[in-house]
Amino acid sequence: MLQSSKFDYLIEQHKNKIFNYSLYMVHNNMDAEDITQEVMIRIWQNINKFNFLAARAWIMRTTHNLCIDYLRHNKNQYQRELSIDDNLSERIEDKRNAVMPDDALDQSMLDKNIKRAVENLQERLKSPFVLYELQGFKYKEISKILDVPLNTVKVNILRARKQLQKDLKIYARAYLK
Amino acid sequence: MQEHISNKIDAKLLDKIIAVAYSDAGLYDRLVVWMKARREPEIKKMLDEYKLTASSVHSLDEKKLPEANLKSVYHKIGKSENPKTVFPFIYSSIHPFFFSKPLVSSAAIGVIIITIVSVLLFYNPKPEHKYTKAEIELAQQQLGESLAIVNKVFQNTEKTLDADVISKHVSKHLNKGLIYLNDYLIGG
Repeated sequence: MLQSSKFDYLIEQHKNKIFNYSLYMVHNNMDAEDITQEVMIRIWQNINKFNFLAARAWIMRTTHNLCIDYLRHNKNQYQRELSIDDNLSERIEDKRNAVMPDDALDQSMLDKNIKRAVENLQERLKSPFVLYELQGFKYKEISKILDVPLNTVKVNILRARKQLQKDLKIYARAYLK
Repeated sequence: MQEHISNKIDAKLLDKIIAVAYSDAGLYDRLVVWMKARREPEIKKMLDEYKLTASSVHSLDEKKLPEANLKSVYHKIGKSENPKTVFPFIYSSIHPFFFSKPLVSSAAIGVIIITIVSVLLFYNPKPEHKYTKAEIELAQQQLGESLAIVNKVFQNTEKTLDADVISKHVSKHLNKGLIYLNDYLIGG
């Protein structure tokens, strides 16, 4: 009964976080759903093994590890996607000129492009950035989840912010005009 | 990012600007950036750009996991879907408040400890006696009797002093002494 309730609660609280993190990591709905399901099954299998109060970190660590496994297995495909996205800034500029009128840059368009820009960050920058900025984890928790020193987490989040700004520079300037 | 960094904005200042834009900076850094942004339009522009990105990042919607996935998981683990039990309700009400926020939980624990210590140190309940009318009358009667006994003792003491002590032991010797003095003075 307690085991079942704990599981229900954890799933209810974390299912979307797991799914979104996976989505940012693997760029693919179906794969993200598969990873989310796998994480949920592992939660059930280990429900009595991890500290319930630290479940959040345990769940995200498991999610992160599964995403990394997935990316390794699909390395070729992933590298192909990355090489395409090396030209992200140019693609954003092209899209802006083609789709949006000069004086009517849409916030939703900006959001969409930010999402894409986040997805296209390098994995070592993206993981801490998504966990910190989008999922509300603290530096210490991220350090535990990713198993990297605290300072590395801070530096990578800063680099991710700079990289994101670089990719979105064109949009930001246009929006401010 | 190097192309952004002009003479007026060095790497350290850029880091501070980013931290301020993402609401991640301390009060001092915020003040420094704010002052510099007021003076330098270039810094202000950069801060605004980062702020716009930060607010857009923070407002990104969370995508919801399709329900079919959840059902599939419950099916795989052979468990019936029962997300609304008592425990999660209580836990979800208490846990996020007291355990997910260290500051709140620390404050709550602090308040509880201070309350317990204060109660133990300063709470000194005064016993409240409520006497019946009969008890009050009995007490008055006993008080009267006690005073009567004391009065009697004083009267006896006075009598003893008058009859025995003063007349026999004081007056007698005093008279005797006066007689001797009188005889001596008269020259007997």
